[in-house]
Amino acid sequence: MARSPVQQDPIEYPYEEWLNMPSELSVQIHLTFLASVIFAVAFILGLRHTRRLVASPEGLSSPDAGSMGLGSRILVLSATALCLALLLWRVIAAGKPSLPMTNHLDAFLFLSLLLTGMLVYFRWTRHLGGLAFFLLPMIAVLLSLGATLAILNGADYQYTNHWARLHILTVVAGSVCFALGCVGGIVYLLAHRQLKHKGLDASHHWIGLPPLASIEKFNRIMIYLGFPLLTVAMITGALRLTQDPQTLHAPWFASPKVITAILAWAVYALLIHVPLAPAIRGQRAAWLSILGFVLFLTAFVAVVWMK
Amino acid sequence: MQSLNRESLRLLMVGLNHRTAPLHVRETMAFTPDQIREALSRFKTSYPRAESVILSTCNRVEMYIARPLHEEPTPEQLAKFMGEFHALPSEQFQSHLYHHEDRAMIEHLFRVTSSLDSVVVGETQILSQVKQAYQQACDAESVSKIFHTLFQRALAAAKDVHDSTNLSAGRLSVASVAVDLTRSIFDRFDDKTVLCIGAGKMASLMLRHLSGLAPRRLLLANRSLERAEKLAAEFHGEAAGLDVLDQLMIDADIILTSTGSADPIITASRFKAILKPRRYRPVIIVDIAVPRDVESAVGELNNVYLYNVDDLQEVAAGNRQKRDKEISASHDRLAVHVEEFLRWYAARDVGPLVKALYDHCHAVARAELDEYCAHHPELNAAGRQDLERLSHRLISKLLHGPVTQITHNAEVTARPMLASALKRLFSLTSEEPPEGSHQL
Repeated sequence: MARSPVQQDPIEYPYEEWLNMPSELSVQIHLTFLASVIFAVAFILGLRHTRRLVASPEGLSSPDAGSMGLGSRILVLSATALCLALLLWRVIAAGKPSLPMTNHLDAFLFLSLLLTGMLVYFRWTRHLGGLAFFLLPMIAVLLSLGATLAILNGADYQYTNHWARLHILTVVAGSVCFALGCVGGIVYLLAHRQLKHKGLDASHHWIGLPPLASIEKFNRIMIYLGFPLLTVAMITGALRLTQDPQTLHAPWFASPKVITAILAWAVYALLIHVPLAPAIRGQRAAWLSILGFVLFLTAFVAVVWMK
Repeated sequence: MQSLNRESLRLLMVGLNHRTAPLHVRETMAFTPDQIREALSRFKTSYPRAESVILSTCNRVEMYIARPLHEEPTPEQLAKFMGEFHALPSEQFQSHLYHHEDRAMIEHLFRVTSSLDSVVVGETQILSQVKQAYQQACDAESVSKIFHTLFQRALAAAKDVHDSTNLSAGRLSVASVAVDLTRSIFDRFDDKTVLCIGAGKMASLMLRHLSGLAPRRLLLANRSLERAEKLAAEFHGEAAGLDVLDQLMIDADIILTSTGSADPIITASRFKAILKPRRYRPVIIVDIAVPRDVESAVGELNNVYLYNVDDLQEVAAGNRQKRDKEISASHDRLAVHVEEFLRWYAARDVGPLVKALYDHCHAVARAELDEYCAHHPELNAAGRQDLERLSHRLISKLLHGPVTQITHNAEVTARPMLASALKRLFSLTSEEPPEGSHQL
């Protein structure tokens, strides 16, 4: 597969030409979907495992209660190995010993692997164990999204200048932080709901949910790490635009990518001010971190509509 | 202490517990650690060939012994020993005593250690109490191989039961459920402030649990400042009157209320007004007062987690039900451990018999060999050695099957019968028949 970091006329793979796509990329997309399905099945198996523990009188508070079950673990390992193999394949196909970051498939594969690494870390250290569990559907969704985007718009990223390179790098790094923040927000809302609705018969621990304060702290750290990266991504994106105004194919104020990116930045800007505006802490902050990630993801993938 | 190995033993225990004896009787029969040392020492002087362990907790006083089968003490002598130690006339406690022998004693000890005989089934304190009793007996050198194995296996079995059945899962008291909930919200307590409103008995009990979290500050508010100060002195807290309650609630992260007030003292409007000065910090409010001190609408406020006594009792009741369901599984699990110990015990009991059997066969072989050599003077030393090796191999191969059967494979109850048959068939004369096994 021909690939160049600077490509003025990117090869596009419109949806109707899906079958005519280069066979190598087509197989990679299929395998990415497969990895996504495996992660999803691992989540379902893990959920069933914990539900079985909940249903039985034993096991609710056992050390095993927060575990995902053997089947789920095996599937996670298999899917991770598959993603790793795919990324290596892309490295080898690129013909240079550097991380391939040429299109959405690369970006989402890399992002998913980073999140899987976090999952392994959480499970290994048993720190914030419940977060690990909810990373599984997030990874499955991101992989499917990457594969779908590769079908809808397989255009390679256009590294027309150094700002473009820095832009992509900060976007991917920021997305790891925001994805984790989003998962933290979901877990916070779940734990909050259980505590408020007095589902107290040990159900709070059935997926090993950490204390609310720990989740809140974790979310804050993710936002503090992600916000500067997003800011750099916005600035480098703007600088890139000044050098190559055609990138957006539309005026910046009419570009969905720019609009959603600005909205995401605004949400995260609000979130980093929680210590100054404590009225939004807790449940509201959790909702905002989910909203922020959805907006950020939209901005990330908005290139699909930039034609 | 003199070794009892290879002797048939009688395992015996005498004691009383919360079911058989009222508190005042248990109190008079209880042993302090010093008294346990003294009692074990005296017992060893009176019965030097017996192993002994004394278990004394607030709910039970039990003495376990292992002694040679036909020796003393009897259960009556053991009860007398305990009474004399405490200088109590036997009529004061005799009717409250129970005793178990051999298999029943082993089962009882395993049940006690696993907390299946406790007031609160699933509590783990008894495990450390049995461990301590065993350790005290070790220090007093009043245990030998049988009790080392018995108590170590009882402790291991209890751990296994707790680990594999969740017998001890879930909290059973309102106070400990409240502590668990607090842990679900906060991850650290060295920067937290606990506020207790009310200074009654329940408040004191709850504070005892909450102070285990080692909070940074402990505030006590009560209508009567004097009572608050008394409780504050006990828990190293700060006392205050109810007139500054709003300020105290602003500072607090964990609020415990237990007043006798007929009307709610924390209303939704009152608490809503302090949310901003609190900077919307999460707060857990545990209301154990009846009638309630906190309006239920307070629980709907942002970052406020409110639990009343019914909420907590519901959790405790659920946990209790779950434990009850675990009891049957725990008994099954325990039975496996008891059988394992009995197998070891029975194998140890037939040990001398097996040795006697081998000795007998080797003696017969040696005699036959001597006679053969006497009739064949041409046989040199090397030839005799060959014949000796041959006879050894033959004996080993012939006896391997029956010996394995009697020591490992046969049912525990069948072993005495097999042992008896072996003795008769081979006219073996071990010093004691393995009668102890019959008792098991």
